[in-house]
Amino acid sequence: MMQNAETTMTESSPEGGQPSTAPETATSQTDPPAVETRNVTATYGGPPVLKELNLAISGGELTALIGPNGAGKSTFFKLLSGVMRPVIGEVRVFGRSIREQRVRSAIAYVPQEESIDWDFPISVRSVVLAGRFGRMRADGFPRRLIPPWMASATHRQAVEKALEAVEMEDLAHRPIGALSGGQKKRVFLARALAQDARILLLDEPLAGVDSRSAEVIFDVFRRTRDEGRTLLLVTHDLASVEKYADRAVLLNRTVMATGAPSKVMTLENLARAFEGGYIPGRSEAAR
Amino acid sequence: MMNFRPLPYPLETIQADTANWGEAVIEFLLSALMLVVNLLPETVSEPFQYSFMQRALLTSLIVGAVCGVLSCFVVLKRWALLGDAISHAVLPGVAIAYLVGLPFFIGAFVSGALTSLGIGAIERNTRIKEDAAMGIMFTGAFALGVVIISQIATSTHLMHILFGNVLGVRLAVLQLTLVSGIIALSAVFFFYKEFLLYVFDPVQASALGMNTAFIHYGLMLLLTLTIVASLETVGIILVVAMLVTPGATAYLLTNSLPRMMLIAAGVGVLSAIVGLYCSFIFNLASGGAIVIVATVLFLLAFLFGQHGVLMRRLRRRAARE
Repeated sequence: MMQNAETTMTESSPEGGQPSTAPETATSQTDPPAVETRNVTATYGGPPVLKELNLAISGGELTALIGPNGAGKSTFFKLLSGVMRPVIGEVRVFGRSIREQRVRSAIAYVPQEESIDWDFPISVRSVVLAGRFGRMRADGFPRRLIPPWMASATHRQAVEKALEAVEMEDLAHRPIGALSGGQKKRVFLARALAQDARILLLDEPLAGVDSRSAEVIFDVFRRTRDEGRTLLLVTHDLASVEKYADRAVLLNRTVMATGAPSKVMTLENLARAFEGGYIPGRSEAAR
Repeated sequence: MMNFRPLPYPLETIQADTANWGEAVIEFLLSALMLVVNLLPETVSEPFQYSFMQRALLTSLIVGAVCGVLSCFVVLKRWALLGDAISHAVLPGVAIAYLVGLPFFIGAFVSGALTSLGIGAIERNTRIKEDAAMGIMFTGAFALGVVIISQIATSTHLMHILFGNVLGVRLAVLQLTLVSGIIALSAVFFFYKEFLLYVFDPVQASALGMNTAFIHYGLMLLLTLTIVASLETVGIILVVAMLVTPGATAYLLTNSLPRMMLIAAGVGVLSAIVGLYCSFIFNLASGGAIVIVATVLFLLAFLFGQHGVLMRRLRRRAARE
């Protein structure tokens, strides 16, 4: 379904896509990696959740983050979205600090279903428009003060385009509480697309998704990656990682293995990372 | 105590009095308000011929609208207990301001803000959770306030602070209420994006470079400002009702936040007007009357609203068939 990791990025944009909106592609070797952590240690006050993490994730690829519960996958996303700061070490995104990249709307975050209040009085379109808030704030004073319902045409168009990309334009007026599991994922994916970010953080984007939505989501992944964007996703579904990911990072408080999915997901590596515990989809083989 | 001046003033007297802008603005608003009130049948408009009733009406309108808008955030962010905490914590500030001769507004604001910071400090630096931290801080502050006031003022004074005294609102207080109302509403309008995202999805707010700590304390300060502005109208004990009930009512009626804010403001204003009117006609405590009207409106929404019990029953039945 997805291109092989070895294939070089095409310079031309995919059909219908606009090259102008695509971020600079990180193909040459002099470019800094999409994500680089140097000796990062993070803690919630107790023992470190991430310890001496050294990791480089290259741009323009889809990288899957795998590991047991409590391995620090979500913490890693918290570091990247600026919710949490490392106690020691440094995280850089495309060679710049997280703070700089946040203000540039370079980092988009697609949350897990459980972290959203689905009773919140908000429509699909308003959620997607929230992806533009960073860009609206970057419009400068006094335009940054304009409330979203008075957003300019540029922002509105970006929202409509994102809604089309996830095939949700017909449900744009729906309250988010009235959506199916797969549609919920697509709305927040559309928000990330509307943001026009260079790197997308996806937390379990395929959990509890029907096959129709999974198809749409995979399609968006491929197109987004082909535009030169970087996708980083946390998943428990080890079986499908090899199908769509260019790279895999096996995490358990620190990097256990990194590289092509088939090389990372060897029984030996998995057993080491999961410490003999339950490996989703692989349990029978590991024991 | 109450003077029964006939109003509205002719506009010329207002223009002549340029020395005090604040008063001029208030007088202008009162005249505008009375133009509307005088269109109503005489039986309704009659109580509002008294200037103390006019001031009470304007104060209640501002308080109802501002509390209504803010109450949406309180309901969605589950901050009802925090609202209660801040409102109680305001009392020692009022007492101390009274002692040193400052406007009670300033004292209330400072002690409300200090308490909300204190709650945050306990929660972040110890293993005590938010609800217990609130319980400790607001009862402590409230007790301090009660003790100070019992030493320096009469019990009627204490009763006015606890239960409001909207019929005795002074012009200076009305001015401050107006100013804080304008500040609160413009902050919500201009920083709607930040507040919405902070309440709805704080991680995304952070990922977009927003300073969530700043938004958190900003929202808390707005809440404190609103509570302080509402003290004269409904009093410390009942102000939390105005910060929860209109928002909760609107929450049962709509699926859009801007609309929820408009409806909540409407509920706040309507309860303020009807409550004030009833309190005049039936000689009731005004704060209590206002809150009872708001509660009745909530019960109506609870029964008949889009997300109320009846609609839910109907939807379930429709789904079963």
